[in-house]
Amino acid sequence: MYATISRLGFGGAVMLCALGSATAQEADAPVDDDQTLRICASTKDAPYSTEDGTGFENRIAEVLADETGMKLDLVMIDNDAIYLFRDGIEKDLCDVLVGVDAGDERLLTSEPYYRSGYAFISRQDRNFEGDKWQDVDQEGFETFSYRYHTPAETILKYSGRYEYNLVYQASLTNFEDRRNQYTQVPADLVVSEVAAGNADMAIIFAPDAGRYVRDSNEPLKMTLITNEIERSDGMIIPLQYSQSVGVTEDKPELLEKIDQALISGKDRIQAILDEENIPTLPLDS
Amino acid sequence: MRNILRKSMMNVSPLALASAVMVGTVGASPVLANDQLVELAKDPANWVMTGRDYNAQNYSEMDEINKENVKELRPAWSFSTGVLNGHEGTPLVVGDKMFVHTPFPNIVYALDLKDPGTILWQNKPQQNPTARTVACCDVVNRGLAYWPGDDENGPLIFRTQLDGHIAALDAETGETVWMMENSDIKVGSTLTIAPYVIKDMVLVGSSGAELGVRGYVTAYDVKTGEKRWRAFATGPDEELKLAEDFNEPNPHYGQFNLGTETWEGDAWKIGGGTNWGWYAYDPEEDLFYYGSGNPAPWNETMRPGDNKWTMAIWGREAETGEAKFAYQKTPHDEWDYAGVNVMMLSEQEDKEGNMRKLLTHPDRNGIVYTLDRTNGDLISADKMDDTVNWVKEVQLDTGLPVRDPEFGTRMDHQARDICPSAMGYHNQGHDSYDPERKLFMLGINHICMDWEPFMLPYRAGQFFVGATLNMYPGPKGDRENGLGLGQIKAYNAITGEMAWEKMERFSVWGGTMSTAGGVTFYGTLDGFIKARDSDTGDLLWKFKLPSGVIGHPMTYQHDGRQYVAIMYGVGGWPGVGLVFDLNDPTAGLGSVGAFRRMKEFTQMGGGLMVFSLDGEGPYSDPNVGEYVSGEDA
Repeated sequence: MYATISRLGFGGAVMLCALGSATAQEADAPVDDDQTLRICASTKDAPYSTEDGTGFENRIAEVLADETGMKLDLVMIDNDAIYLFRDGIEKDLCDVLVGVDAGDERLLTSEPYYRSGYAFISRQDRNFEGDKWQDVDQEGFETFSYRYHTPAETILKYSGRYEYNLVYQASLTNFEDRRNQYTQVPADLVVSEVAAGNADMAIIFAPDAGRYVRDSNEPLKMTLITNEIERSDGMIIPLQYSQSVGVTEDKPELLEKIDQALISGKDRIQAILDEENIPTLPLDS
Repeated sequence: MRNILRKSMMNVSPLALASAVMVGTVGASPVLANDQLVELAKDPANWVMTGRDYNAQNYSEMDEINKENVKELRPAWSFSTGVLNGHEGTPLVVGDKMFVHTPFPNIVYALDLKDPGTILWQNKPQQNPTARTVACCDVVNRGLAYWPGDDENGPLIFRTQLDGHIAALDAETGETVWMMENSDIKVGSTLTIAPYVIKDMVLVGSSGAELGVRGYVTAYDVKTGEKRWRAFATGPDEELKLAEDFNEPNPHYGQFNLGTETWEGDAWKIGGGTNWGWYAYDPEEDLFYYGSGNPAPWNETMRPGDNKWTMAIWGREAETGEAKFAYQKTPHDEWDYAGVNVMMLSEQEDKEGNMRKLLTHPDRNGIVYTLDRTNGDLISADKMDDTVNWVKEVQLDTGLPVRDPEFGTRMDHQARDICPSAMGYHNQGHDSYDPERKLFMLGINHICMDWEPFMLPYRAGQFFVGATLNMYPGPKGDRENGLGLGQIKAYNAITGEMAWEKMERFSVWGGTMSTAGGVTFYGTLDGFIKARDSDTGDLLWKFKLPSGVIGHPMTYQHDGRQYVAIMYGVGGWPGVGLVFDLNDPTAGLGSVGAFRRMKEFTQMGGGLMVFSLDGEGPYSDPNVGEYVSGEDA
């Protein structure tokens, strides 16, 4: 299997142009041909993707390349993963994102390859019971860690727990100024705060947390939330999501190859998810 | 709440404190601080508060320096504060002493005006360094307050600290007398406002709206640091401390229950409305005035409703903290037009010829508001520049702004050339009022912006809503070259006319001072102190300072001679690019792009320059301050 990692950071893009024009065969230069699988990934999206290529989606990318028989070009973008579409796909640096919601309208999406959901994480010795989002509202559970911009915020707002908890949550990013800035709490911190007893509970998308729950010295309990939120305006906010591979709209033929690869590589991908300790739901649930 | 008191203070029972208050208000004899401060301010030699006197006019009756001789101003002495960040505010002078403040680490220096080469004392607090990361816009501080003392206690200097503490320092020795935690740095709340002394209380505001802070103003007992009252900007009426007759003269401003009802759910609990600007006080009415800032969170789509009482001009009774009136200037702010700007008090005849007690407030939103300060009546609301476009007009009968949707910041709308930008046409500068000419001397930003909203979706129902802000000179500036970002203007609040106006290369960020000598002084971001003719705006004199200015000038008299002083040290919001070495033009909410050329004119610095005619001063006699063997103890 061939794998190269291109780094597109601040200065990386400049490097890339220089190398690309000088030596077309240079392994670092992403090549847009039908033998190269150009996948964008973030340098700061643990546990999905990390700068050293050990995120679980980085490993799934290798499986996809292998199963399609293409050469993997993992285009590393030095920005938060929320920018991958804008800074990668739209700029034609890559064609594929390994993990997007099934039906993401910006891309062609593959058949879903796993389904998971938001989860409560608490220390086992706290004996937390409950799998509805409303169960967050329990005596003795006052402090919550979560990631910004997620339905976890909605859960806390609708439970009347949000405002009280906001100060603690802001401390997780050292009170960084959030005016018009994308600010995020690292997934491992959300989990370790619970293990350390600083937060009574974490509310987080389970794939964000799987490996950290697995590796925690303090035994933790992770429970998938089973219902969904109906907002006051009637809009439904799902708490379970099917994950697909996203492919640029320009390459429908590539989507077919990916769908094939997901079938032929099903067991290998499942092994990665299992190793990652991601609780999954039936795809048709 | 942490509370550092001297041991002797710890033994005072609450009952004893309460009765002391009673005596203070009901008893006949005690001379309260405001009487003494009023008296001290009557002597033009002094500069006892940030706005010189309770009217916050930044106006001096001295005329030794006047439009005929101002060109002879030369440096008399100078002082480096040893701090390089932005220096806002102005020093205080009481008698023979000058008190100088600095940005974080918030050192206070007392200088001997007879021999300013001698630092009488300095007080540098131990602070939680986290404060630096919490502050949004450089680590500025806007100044000090002075309490003259009474029969039992000596005079005190009050200092706010970036880490949220208010400290009382012995004005003679610099010793810390007490310290209270006003804003918890752990909740993202910082302090940059200058404290303000009324009676035997010191008032302090709050900063940090975006981090879920709910803005409040608090009064502390000057002697003990005991909290007298605290009034919030959002929430239930009891916590807003609304008087029973709140807004009775102007019910259309809104009256009761609006601090919660104009928010979705419990959003008022994190609704912002902090106040970090300036206060003014009318001792006859016992009302003080200030502006509450922008609502939080920053993104307007997250907080439907009018978001009362953010963005309001408040008139509160000093004794109780109760609000007699509040007028919300920008309901449901979409632009970050935090309305904390200076309140200047004047007494003028209105258009009908009736003498009125007025309050004039050049707001960040580009409107100069004038209210009757006894009851909150809106008398005028004029655009400070005809390029203001987010609003077509402010209706005087309803008090409401008539918006132009083209320049709104909705998610589905790319807005071009919104004026003013998020920095406002008027920011934290402390302006002045010349009562002889009936002119407000306004230092103005002339900056507009493009607003390009975006919504970035991510997996599992996550998305981020934001906007790309680009700022650049207003239509009267030189957009091609990125200069012409400021103005200075002389405004008549009764006629609504500008007596004169001049363009500046950069914003006039720090404010102005005017004098009976017919001269208006101000500092510029590119590092000049300038003097203009108050009648015509003609430039009479300027001097190049070591660094740009974001504070306001002051004047004092010592040993029979008039001096003009100004702090230099570029920074603050316009200087974030310089201070933090930022290059992305959209960084600092767009400030970095707007002020990209500033580094060609100035660099960081920090200190004070003092001028007099011909530079005459304490060291005109070269023997002053000389080393004499055996005399320095």
